Amino acid sequence: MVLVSIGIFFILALLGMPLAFALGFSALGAFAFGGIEMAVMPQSMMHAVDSFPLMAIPLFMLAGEFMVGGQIMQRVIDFANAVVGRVQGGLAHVTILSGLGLASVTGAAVAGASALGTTMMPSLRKHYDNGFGSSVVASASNLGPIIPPSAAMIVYALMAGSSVSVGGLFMAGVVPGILLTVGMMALCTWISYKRGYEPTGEPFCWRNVLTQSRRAGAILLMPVLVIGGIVGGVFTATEGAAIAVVYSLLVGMFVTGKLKLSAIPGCMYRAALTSAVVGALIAFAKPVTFVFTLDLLPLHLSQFIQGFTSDPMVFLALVMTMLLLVGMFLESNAAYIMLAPLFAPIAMAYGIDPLYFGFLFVLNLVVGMMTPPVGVLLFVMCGISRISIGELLKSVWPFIALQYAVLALCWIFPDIVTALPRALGY
Amino acid sequence: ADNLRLAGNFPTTHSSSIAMEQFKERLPELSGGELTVDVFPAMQLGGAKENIDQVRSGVLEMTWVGASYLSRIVPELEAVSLPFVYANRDEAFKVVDGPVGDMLNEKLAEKGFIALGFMELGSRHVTNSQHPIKTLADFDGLKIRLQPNETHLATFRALGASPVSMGINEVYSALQQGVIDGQENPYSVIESRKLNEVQTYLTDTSHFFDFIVVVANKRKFEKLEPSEQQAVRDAMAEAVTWQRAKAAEEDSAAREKLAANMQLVEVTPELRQQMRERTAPVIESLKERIGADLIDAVLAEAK
Amino acid sequence: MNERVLDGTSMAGEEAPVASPLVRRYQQMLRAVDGLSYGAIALMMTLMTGLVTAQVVLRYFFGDSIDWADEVSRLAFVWSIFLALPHGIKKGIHVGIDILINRFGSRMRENLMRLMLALSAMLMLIVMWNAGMVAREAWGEMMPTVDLSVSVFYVAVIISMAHCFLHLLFLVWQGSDVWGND
Ligand code: NA
Ligand code: NA
Repeated sequence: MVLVSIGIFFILALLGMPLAFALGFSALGAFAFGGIEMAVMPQSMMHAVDSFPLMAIPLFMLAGEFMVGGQIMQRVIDFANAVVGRVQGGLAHVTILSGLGLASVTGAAVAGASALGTTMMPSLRKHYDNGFGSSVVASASNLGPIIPPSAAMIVYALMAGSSVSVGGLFMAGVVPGILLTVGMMALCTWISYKRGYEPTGEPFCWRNVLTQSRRAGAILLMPVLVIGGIVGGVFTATEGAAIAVVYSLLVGMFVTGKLKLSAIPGCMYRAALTSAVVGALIAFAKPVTFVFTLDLLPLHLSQFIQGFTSDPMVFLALVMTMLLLVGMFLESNAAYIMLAPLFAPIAMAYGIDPLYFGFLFVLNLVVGMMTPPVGVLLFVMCGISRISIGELLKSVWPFIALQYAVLALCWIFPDIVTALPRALGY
Repeated sequence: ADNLRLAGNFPTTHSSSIAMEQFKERLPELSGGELTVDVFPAMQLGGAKENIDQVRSGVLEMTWVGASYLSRIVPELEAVSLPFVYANRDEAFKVVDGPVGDMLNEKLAEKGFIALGFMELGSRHVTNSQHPIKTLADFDGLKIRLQPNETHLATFRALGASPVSMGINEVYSALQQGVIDGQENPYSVIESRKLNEVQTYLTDTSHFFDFIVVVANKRKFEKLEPSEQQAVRDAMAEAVTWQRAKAAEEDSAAREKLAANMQLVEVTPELRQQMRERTAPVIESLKERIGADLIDAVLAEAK
Repeated sequence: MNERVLDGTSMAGEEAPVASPLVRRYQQMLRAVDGLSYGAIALMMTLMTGLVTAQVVLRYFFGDSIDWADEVSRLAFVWSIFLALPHGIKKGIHVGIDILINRFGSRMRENLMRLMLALSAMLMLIVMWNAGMVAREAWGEMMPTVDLSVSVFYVAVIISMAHCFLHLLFLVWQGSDVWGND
């Protein structure tokens, strides 16, 4: 059944069928071939979505929608501008810090790119060339799934089984995310220096920082409250996401005053729509996982790999290489859904720390979203700033290289990933 | 030769999952090589509700699952989970192995299931962080986490506690922060989830006895040769017997461990009698819902 | 992925030629269904957010909880995801791999797309039919905390698949660019 299912999937996917439906068909074919009752299709699909932890995804998306609708980003940008605006390449730094701020309340890179791109691109384009500006926006948006909260981590934790908690994975992303931020800022300073970009923002002054931080205070408090609450065990990730929704709703309506009551249904609709893209993949991939499990594929795969090597580092290198390749071609959510249930248990059998493995898994695919030939984020960026992919690639490659460098660092020094969650008791 | 598929949601180390591995070894021997079985524990093919759905539609042949999940389809199963009915596990098993078991089998068969045996999930006990529960008054206002089950909720409301429902994974931190005062579970669960770290008082209330039921899809089961059916029943009976002994052993080991670092209160016969009286209306209302015959039979057998 | 993102990229299709009355009627009907579904999605999202928030507030400030909040919020979640799924088809945002098909000529590519969409429509029918069977089978089974059949979960799948089918059919019939910037 496994071969039938994989065969159907690849043919249909290559012929351009949406991945979710290609997965559905591949399961259908396998069930027909194996004489399994078709009732399993709707059962697996429904039960796959019927999950309390998964509910965090539309909720975080909705919080993001409210932030955009309430024009909350502008205040974060003003704050970042007051702090780093005057540094060499100031506007790029503002973008990166705003991206960090955005990442700490939303969970997906593509949504982040549209929020950050629409607000920052006009001024970036004024001072720098389009390619550099787009590269900065794209790589700052890619902090979204690395800094908590993260839709990718929620999906991974759910697919990997009970060995990984969402809260633990969230915390694993903090240090690498900050490393990336610092790295990006260093990179921007260097590039700006080399190209002789003029400083942009107002001269630094404490009074301005204070004013802007007061204006942005309610917004900057939100990640502290939500992530702190999740990590402190005050509420679950899903509940934290609901708090984020209510919080950003209130901030948008009463602090910035830009979120109108009439805009709320539209925000909800868009949040549901974006989540449904992930939801469709999860729903249609579940029966495929069912086929794999029924045919004992996880067991056989594990035996095969363990027969091949007994060294966890070799196994890790294999998985990382595979993910790198997969990340180049496949949409990352589809990859979590199909591969995490297969490889997470094997990693456990090798005695690899589940949090470490889980984070590397996620980071690898996140970086894959910016890696050609098929990097979703790059294409989205091209759409936003009307730039050709070739032109974008010319300036984005140092940023991609940086992300791979951080990935390698995390791989070589597991403490970067695991120290914080361990210290917090995960 | 046929290959059967058996799925469950208990972890691989749980006594019921180990018992199913034994079933897997024994079935080919007892069926003369005609039958084999693949076992999928630990939610590999989905959670309890999903496994039940799968067996009902014949996607899978068999599942082993907590009786409370199955009682949503066959409400009559609630009759064997009445509050304060069994004095000990022997009484509990005497009931399901006797005429009550036959009546339940009929009800299960009406919904397309065949029961292959009842295993032990465990007798449930209350822990809390406030004070030892020695009298009925000690339940007053205690915020106790319960499973979302009408009988369970009604029982604790009758005792005077205020029930809170939440997922089992959130219980530890909720107890730690004092969001709730207590919870109720079998000893082995309290121990494996380390709830003793965040709870001080344990009272051996034995308010419910929970069963694990092994069920097969009736249509699929009846397609097997009679000799094969017998082999399945025999192999499962062996596994069930082993599990009951193992679970009993683990239960008393867990109790001992918990007693070492918690303050254990043993329920007096007077308190037990009072709790029975207080919760009698729960049983009465259940009679209205699922019929008096079965419940009367349980009450008579449990004596 | 995100509607706002894709606006102005490949979605900006040319003006469709004048449609026949039948096509217009079908499109009107689809719009009506979409509108209904839009309202239901907003409602479900509100219910979900409200219940999860209420649960936290009740637990923290009143030491209380709603017995059915978990069940009903999950139900609302399942409904919003499955209801939103067909809208993703309309907006063309369900991700696919286009490396290979981008090499084909535009006519060939359009034909291939229609074939894939037709196959997808078939998948929807099969899943819908089976979801119906499962829902019927489970009709008597009640949710543990609410007096509602568990089949209501499957009803979301049935509606979703039917709605998906209607959209896919329209795309196969009228071409994958028919909605343009709608
Ligand atoms: Na984030
Ligand atoms: Na998990």
